[in-house]
Amino acid sequence: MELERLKKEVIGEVETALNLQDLEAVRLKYLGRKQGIVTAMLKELALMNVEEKREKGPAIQQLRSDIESAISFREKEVGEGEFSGDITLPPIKPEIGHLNLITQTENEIRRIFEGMNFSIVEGPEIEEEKYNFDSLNIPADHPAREMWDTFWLKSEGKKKYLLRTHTSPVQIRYMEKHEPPFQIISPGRTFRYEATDATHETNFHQCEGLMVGKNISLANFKFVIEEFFRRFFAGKSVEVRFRSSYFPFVEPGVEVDVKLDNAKWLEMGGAGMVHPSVLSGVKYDPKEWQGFAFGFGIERLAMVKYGIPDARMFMSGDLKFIKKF
Amino acid sequence: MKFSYSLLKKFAPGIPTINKFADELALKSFEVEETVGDMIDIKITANRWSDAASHRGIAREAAAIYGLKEIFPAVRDLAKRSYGALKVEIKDVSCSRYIGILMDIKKVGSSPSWMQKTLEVCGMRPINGVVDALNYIMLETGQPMHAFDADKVKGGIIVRKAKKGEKITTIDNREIELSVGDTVIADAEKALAIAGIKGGKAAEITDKTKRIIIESACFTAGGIYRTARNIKLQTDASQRYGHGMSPSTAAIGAGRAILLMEDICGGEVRSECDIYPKKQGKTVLKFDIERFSKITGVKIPKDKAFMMLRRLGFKVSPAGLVEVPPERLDVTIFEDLVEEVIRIYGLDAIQAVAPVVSLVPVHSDESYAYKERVKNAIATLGYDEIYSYSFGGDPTSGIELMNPMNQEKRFMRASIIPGLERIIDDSSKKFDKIGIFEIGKVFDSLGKEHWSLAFAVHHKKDDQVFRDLKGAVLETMRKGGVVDVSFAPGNGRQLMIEIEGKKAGIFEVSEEGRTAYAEANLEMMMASASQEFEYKPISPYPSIMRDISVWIPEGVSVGDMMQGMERSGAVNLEDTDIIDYFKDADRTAATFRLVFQSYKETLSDSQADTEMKKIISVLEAIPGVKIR
Repeated sequence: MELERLKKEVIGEVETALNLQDLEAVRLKYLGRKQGIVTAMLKELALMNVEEKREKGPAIQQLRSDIESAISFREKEVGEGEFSGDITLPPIKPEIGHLNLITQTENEIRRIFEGMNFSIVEGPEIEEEKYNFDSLNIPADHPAREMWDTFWLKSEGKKKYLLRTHTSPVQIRYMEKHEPPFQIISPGRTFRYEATDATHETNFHQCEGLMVGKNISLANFKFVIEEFFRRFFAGKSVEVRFRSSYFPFVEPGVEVDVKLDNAKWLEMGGAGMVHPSVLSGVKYDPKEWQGFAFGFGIERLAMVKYGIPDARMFMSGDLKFIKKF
Repeated sequence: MKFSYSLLKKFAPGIPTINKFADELALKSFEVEETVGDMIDIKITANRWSDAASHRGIAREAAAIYGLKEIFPAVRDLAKRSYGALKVEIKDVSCSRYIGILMDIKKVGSSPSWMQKTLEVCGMRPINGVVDALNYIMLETGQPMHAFDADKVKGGIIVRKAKKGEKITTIDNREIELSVGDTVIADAEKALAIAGIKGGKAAEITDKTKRIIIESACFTAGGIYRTARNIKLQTDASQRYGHGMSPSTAAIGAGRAILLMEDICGGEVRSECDIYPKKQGKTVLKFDIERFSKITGVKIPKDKAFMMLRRLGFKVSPAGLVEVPPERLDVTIFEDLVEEVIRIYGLDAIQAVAPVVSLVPVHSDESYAYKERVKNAIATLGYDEIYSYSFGGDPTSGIELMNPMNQEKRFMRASIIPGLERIIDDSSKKFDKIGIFEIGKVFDSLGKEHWSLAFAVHHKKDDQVFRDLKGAVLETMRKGGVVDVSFAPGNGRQLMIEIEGKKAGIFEVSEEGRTAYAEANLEMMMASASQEFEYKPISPYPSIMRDISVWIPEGVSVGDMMQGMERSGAVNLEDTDIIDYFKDADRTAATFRLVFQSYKETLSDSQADTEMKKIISVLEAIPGVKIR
């Protein structure tokens, strides 16, 4: 115990030493060859019998080594010498590769949803008309289908093929093979036949989500989506609101808006409660199962998060843009 | 769709200022594109045209939102039974109702200025008294209306399918050839109008017209939609019918038309004919407040929900039986009522509630994790990740689109390399060294797709692209867990990348030697990937390094020489590497570095010398090889 007190005392003196001279004085006081206090204890130790040595020796040796390392650590803090270069010299840029911002954003989305126990699933980019439209309650020969401007493929058989206009078909394919309850997201490339401008691209990426259970409600969706946006826009205050909207595969259908740091409301994507026809189409009983579905544009999320002005930059292949992230 | 705010206000007195109304409408009903003066541009969703593509419909929304009483203009009741000279015959099932009104008019004239003003706010051009009044009725009620000059109609009105090759000249002088699937309004001799889309020249109203036949009809959505698309003619009428209209609205339009014609054109009804073969059924749904709460997560009293529905024009019995207004074609199931109640009650009433579910472990598709693993590996090698278009294939390999954006984007890509090539071309002036990669789907000529990984390397100043990219490919394979990779000659300048002895990709150096490309089937990589690496201990003893420079004769490859050295029987040969290589027109030289290392002892120089002799003798045994 006495040694403990001594150790505290010495460390205190080492820590308050302001320069190398003070520090040397501390060293001499305890470890000096002639009158050092700890040196004296070690000398005493040498005269003891074997049993006493074994009992007291290790603690005293430990004390000496602790003092030595404390002094050498403090020496660096109060020691002399200084950085002699020009600190304003520009750095040499390390040559590193860059993951595309779409990948980085998708990774972030996946991590957040996996953190909420969502599984990530994928599906084909060339889809059957059935999965892209019919199974999603989007009527044929009705203007509702024009909400999705579609690239069609030349095909000879009866089945018509297209480039998926959203990743919702992945959800249908998933439901056909799995029983609820579950929660999934499906990020991936999607296509729209439309003129490109600052907010539209023919090739872009979406992340859709689906949660089905016995009691999954719109209020649950609000929880999940608020949690997502809070994590995605970490560091900003996040408000989420719903607006009434129409998507054939959900009922009720809503548009999801986000307000960051009290700025303007921003439209982020569509959502709603899965339409009973969609559920019965995959042989789920809509009286037993219910759930929500949602979809967001990955580029759109990245544009809002990083302040990117033009959606066309993602596919431009401009290396200067890619190297910025 | 453009609406007149003052007309809405007339129908729903008490609505707030135009911009406040626009904000509220956007939350509870429809997006508002903009407001300019009296005009409010509302984006009617595709399911709501049957009721909301009209001032009455939007006024009803306003009344429901604000709890107002709506006042709709007077409508003349139609006669209980058809009477008079006008005969209508429906020969096509796609016409679900046809109301014809024969009227004498004093003059066609022009419409009053208040009516013209409303038309103009809504983006329509005033034409004459009859046409303007009918357009105005469409704006009010949503019902498309049309009028024929009765003196130009021979016999009665016949709704029938078009004949093969039948032609019609529309009132804007376009000649349109119809197909047998299309529906026309005709008289005994000729087509008078393309049903539900556009009137024809033959019985057009002129300022000399004295007798008119007013049409207020209903056609099924699919037929009008298909015809309008086929003949590429979209009109206000075709849009409304194409989305679907209720036959009940036709009666409102006709009744309104009689009143307005009397007022504006001094009209007098001579004959009415209402053909309505199959009446629209009533939709009655049970409202279950428990299920409402289960779906929305919001608890509200039953009476409050009923009130919201009543304000929207639904009839609700105390027992919760809800009769849907006939024009609300969008409401067919209970969940539709849930939406009506929650949106008017306020979606902001929904509070976040954490879902309670039994825990199902995450079982994501492996491909996502594998792609991430490979992408991260390549990025650490200094490569930038590209996303290029899925188009840009060619007729020999890709599948063709029916409606491409342009000629260069006709085919789906069968390879990512052309996409990377374009980026190298664009960027090679700006950078001395470029390394890029992309992981994406590629498609074969049958539309079968798989994940592919492509690289491209460009050096402005040296010709080491082959070795540079080969290193990147092999390192990516190693990090991707692919152990058995080799390169073999392929077609022409192209090399093959083989995984487990099967072709898994290609490798190519451009003719001028500054750019190299490689592409591999990522799914084959994934299938061959082993998760585990075996750790080989590191020797604690120092190594000895020896360099040897040689002239290499034609026909001998560096690979052959390195393999020879490795198989020379030299003991403790830990590593064989090439550290210098040059080739000109006459000769080829290389310097190899050999590393000797033991795991049992520190090697001496003389031990290394002994082993080097074995290696040199192997090299010298190759004809033409000379030690420099």
